[in-house]
Amino acid sequence: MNALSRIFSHAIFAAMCNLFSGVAIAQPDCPAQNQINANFDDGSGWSMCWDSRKRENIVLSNVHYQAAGAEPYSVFNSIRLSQLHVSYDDSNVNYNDVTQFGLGGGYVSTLDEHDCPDGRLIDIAGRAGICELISKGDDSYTTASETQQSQSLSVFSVSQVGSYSYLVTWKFFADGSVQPSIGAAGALQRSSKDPHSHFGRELEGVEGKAWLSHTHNYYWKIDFDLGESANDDVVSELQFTTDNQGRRARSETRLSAESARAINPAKMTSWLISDGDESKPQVPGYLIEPINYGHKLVNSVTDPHTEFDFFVTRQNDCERFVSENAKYYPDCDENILQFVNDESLIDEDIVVWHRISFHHVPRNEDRQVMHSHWDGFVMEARNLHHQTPGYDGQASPEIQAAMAAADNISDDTTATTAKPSSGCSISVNNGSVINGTVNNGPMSNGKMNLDFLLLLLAGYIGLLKRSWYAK
Amino acid sequence: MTRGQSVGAYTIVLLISLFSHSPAMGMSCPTSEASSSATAFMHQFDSGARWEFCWHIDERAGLTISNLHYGPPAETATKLMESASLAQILVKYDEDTNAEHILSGDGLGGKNHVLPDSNSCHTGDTQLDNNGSGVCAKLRDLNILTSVRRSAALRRHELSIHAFSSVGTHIYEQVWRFSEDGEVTPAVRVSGELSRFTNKQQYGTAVTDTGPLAANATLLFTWRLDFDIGGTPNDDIVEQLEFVPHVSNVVRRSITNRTLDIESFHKVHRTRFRGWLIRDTKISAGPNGTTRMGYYLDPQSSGFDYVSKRNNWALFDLAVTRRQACEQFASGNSNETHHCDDSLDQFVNGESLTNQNPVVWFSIARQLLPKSEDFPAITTREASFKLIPFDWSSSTPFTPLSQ
Repeated sequence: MNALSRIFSHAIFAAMCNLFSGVAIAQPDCPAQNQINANFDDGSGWSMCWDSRKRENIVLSNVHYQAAGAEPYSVFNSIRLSQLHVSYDDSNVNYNDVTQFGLGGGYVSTLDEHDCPDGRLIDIAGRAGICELISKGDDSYTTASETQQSQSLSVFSVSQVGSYSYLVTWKFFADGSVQPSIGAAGALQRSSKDPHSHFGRELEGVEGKAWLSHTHNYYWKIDFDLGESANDDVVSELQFTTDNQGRRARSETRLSAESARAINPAKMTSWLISDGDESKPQVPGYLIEPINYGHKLVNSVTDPHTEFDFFVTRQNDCERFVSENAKYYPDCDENILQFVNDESLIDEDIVVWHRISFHHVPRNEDRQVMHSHWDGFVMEARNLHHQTPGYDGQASPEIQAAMAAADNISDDTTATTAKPSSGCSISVNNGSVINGTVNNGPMSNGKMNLDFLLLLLAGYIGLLKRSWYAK
Repeated sequence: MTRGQSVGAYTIVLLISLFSHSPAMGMSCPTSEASSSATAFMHQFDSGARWEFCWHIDERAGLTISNLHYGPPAETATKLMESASLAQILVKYDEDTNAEHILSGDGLGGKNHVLPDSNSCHTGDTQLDNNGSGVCAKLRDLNILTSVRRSAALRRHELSIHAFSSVGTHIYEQVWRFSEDGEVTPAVRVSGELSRFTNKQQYGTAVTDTGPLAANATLLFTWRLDFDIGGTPNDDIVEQLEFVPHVSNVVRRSITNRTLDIESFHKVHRTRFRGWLIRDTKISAGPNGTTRMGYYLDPQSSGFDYVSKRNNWALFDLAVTRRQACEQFASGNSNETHHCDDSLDQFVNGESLTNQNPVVWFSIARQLLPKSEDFPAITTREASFKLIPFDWSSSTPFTPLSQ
């Protein structure tokens, strides 16, 4: 077979693999009208089911991520906003917006095409209430030679509660990361008749009153189901301790029983949710780093659970709301601290709960229409890919030298280690590792293999339908 | 004094260009110790809101913004800052005892400055100056600006300026984001390639199946913000706002604001909702002068503390100093200017800030915990914080969309 024939045969083989090797995003297990499927340019994607509940509004379930060329990977059983406290500075009143009013039902704002440009409006009870759209974001990586722009799926809805508009948003990135966030918009709700009140501020154009400062305390409930089994997820707390010389050592503690945890900023407390044995290197999972934590509502007297920032519990269907839970589930506990009752998490389906506080100091710009203030956090995908997704390059000589300089390195570990690849492996360029399908990437021991060269050449002559990174 | 009077001294002849953004004709980019050859830039959004500033690439600090003005829709542009830039980046690998001081060491400008090209600026416009330096200007529709009356929504647009530096195997992308509604978001994005590996479990993370561990690291990003609200720098003040729970009733919180009247260091106080308001003492956006124009430094993204055994200043989130032209870098400063102190630890020496020009230094701590997705190219990490217009207008300057 001459060289040109070999190129064509590789290209045809690759194209067939694309068609038949599960590149299409899997369909979620729910009626078609409740499905959300997103395909990104790099071949990755997300699938999920949506529901609108009277209390939480958006609940996403059966959430799967699919790396380019890989099988669908279960990430969440369900995700939702679990409570939204509004605590005003002047009083004992602590509103529980999710359970007192609800973000769904009649509180859902009707969206139109201006709210959802180039996206899909989804009907809730006969009117457009959810927007699903794919957007391009900042670059996912930059090297001296190339830049990869990321894409993400946004699913959002707007709920009008009192004067406030809450823009509840879920963002799913092409690398597998997920960002829940909320924009607080609308208008200021409460004021004092005392313009000199210590609990608020007098603003321009409104004589004789002070608009009250307040805190929005957001809680999310995240039911992880990583991989094939829901009962093998492991939650670990990462802490870093600095010694007198300045060296910083990592410690990792498995939370093997239900726990309520507070952040230690000096130790950069973070939480790792792993698919299976956390002691193994490169276990797929998600990292929550509480970096958006400049403010923290603590009210130990009336709401002791506000002393904590992160909770992990065993999944229990009747544990739905962080507070006022018994109002809807009389046979179940009332709040998150009662949910945390030391039950073992070993071989159990775990749920994590995380909160962010936003203290709002009124300013002139909040009247009459308030500009949105966004809060949220990122669940960073880790080790869902075998290497930088979409990156075709090899480790530079500098990296290889740095790896060689590390103590006690064996000679055969200076580059991505070769592993057997299965037949239809056009997805090797993306190096996905999900579901144990470890792909080599184009490199093997630092040398570009011939098959990859042929595929690359075939791509250049237009026989491959996809490019692996943005030019 | 109202805004109209204050800006009288600063007249800008705006040329509304056919392009989405353009050099600001008439915008002055004066020669100074910080900007010998800055380039003017202006962008006006469809709403009429606009940003005007000068930029240049400093040998050490990299992208430097100067003469920064923001004008809400239908309002005159008012000066916000004289200059703003990064003042240091510390990179400390966990197994090391000392941090690398990137700005005073290698620097982000000069030979380390990387011109944007069609690859790194594929969604923006490349802007070049006369020195051969360049930035990438991008315009994005971010998301809903604000929801109005249950249905229609304004959308938030944002201008951003990006400069790139290559230091070792790392790429430092310096970003200044300017939103249509007046927010300023300084950011640094780190990518490139991993450069340190270790075999000590407590100091590294696996990124390959059998290779050495990639070294964990902490990073500290420090910015220098020389406020000059309304063009009258000596009447700006920095107030520390706190909301202290009542002893007898922990739910009620009184606002306390303390003017920082001497040079000092400060830390975030999370449960007191501590933040910093930089405001003019004279200029008001409203006719009655109930409030004064300012910007709020929201430390919401200050979730982590930086721990250092070598640099006292790095333990703090914010410092405020009296402006000295030679005080440019949080550390290693005397490397650049021999007749000046070396670090923030010396700059902060108790001088009065009353009727002086204050400079704010703000730091954000992050950590790098590598993962397999970081090999061979690092998945971009970002550190940023927000400066929010605070009584810059007398009410929202945006008109709700008609239904």
